[in-house]
Amino acid sequence: MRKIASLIVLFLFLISIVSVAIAVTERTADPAAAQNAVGVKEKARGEIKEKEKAKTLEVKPEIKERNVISVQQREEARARLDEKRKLLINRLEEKDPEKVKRIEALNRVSVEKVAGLDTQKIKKLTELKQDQFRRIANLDEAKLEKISSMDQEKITKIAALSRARQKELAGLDNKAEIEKALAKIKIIKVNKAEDLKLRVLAKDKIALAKNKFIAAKEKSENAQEKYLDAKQKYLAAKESGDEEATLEQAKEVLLKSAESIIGHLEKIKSKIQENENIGEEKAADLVARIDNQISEIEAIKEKIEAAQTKEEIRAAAKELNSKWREYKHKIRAFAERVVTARVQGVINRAEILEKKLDIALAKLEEKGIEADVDAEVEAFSALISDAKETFQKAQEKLEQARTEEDKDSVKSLVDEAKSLIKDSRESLKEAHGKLKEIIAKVREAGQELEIDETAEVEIEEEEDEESEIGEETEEVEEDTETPETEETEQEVD
Amino acid sequence: MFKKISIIITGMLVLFVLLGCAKPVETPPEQPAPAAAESPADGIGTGISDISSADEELDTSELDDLDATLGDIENI
Repeated sequence: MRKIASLIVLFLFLISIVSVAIAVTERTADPAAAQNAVGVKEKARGEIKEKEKAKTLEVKPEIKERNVISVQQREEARARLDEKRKLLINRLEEKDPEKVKRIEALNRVSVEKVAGLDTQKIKKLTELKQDQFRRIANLDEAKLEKISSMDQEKITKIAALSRARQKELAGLDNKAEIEKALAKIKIIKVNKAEDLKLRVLAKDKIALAKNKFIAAKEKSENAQEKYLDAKQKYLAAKESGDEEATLEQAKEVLLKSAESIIGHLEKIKSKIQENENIGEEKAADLVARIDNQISEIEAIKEKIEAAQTKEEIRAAAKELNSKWREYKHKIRAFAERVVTARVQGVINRAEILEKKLDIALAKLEEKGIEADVDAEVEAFSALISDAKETFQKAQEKLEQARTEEDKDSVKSLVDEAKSLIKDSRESLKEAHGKLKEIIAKVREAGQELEIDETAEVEIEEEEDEESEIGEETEEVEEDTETPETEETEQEVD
Repeated sequence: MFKKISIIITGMLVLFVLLGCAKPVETPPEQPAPAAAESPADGIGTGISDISSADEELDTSELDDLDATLGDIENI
């Protein structure tokens, strides 16, 4: 016994020595190998460095020369631009430091275009706020000439519009047409996208609607799952010729179909209830319509539950199918209405951002930082304008679908609306891409684009019947503030 | 007595073997926390995602086959 124990101890001792020996070898071998590897790497690195050094020595003067030329060119361009601005200021005999600042915030192309106007017209433009002057000066010469020949009040109103809208108005045939179009436009002042919400909901109301959505989603998914299961069983029973099982499963299919429809309607209802971009009146109307549909489906559901005979089940199925066919595209229209409300929210945000971009860019220009992003800002404006246009068309289609009785017409209107919403979303996505390009270009120019969240901007008010813009917003037409005072309000922190 | 000693020695040797074979624990390098940089494009990007999620959440395509199924039950 003792001998065996001694042998085991000896065996384990030997194993431990072997394992320790291996570990020690690895650990001692590692540094050597590593050192060796480091040595090789250092040697290679040294060689590369040598080669790079040699190359750099060859290329350096070339790069240096190119950089010097590039810096020189930039400085020369900057000096030429300053010279042009100075000439323009001298020509206007402008002493007002605020107006001088506005001219200094113009980029090279804009200075040239403005310089081409007669003094009187330029003076009218310098009355505009810095960012507005910068924006309107992006119009081409002919359009700028046309707009600047209008009276000051109208120029101020046009200057408050987006670049795309300015372009559209200035492109009209004559001054009379521009004035006619301008008369229909209302301008409001806002700070943020939230100011454009069609209604303001209490936080707890939104939270309640969100919870209702979660419950409705769960209910709908559960019903859908059970519907699919019952459908399989119904088809199997029908296939096997078991009438009793067929009727039993048919009843289950009908019940779960009704529950799926109700669950879906409840989901849409809660999404409408939490959305602040749907006016109070419109939301109440939609919710009432949905509630009415839910009640009708609930009534059919009761009939299904009570059905005992084949005839009763068939009658209940007929009634549910008829209601479903009647409601299905209306339900799609309700869902699309929720989606358009979200699109509206993004468009509002983008429209405000476009104006704030001009403020931020004017500030950069004033600091002497020239980020050549006007083409991108113009593209951003055009894309937002496209998104808005297609979105408004989609809204019209959905409104028509709401009152339309013919099922096929409702389907076709909802299909058209869906396609328009898709286009609108695509434009928004492209605009988002342009915005990223603008930010990147400004960064390349050595600055970060700083958007002042508190700055007040003017935007065009929607011609929406359900529009219920808050009292705090005011119309520019009634506004008597001087541009100078307004500008102080817009100062970036 | 001898039994106890041999158990202790065996235990120690097993421990020795295990320690010898154990790999040194490598602590992963600490990852710097990503900076939450908010850019003007973020709001628009989030809004676009919200549109997509609303579209998906309210999609009615799962109810597409109701007509056919209900029609079938109508004629059982």
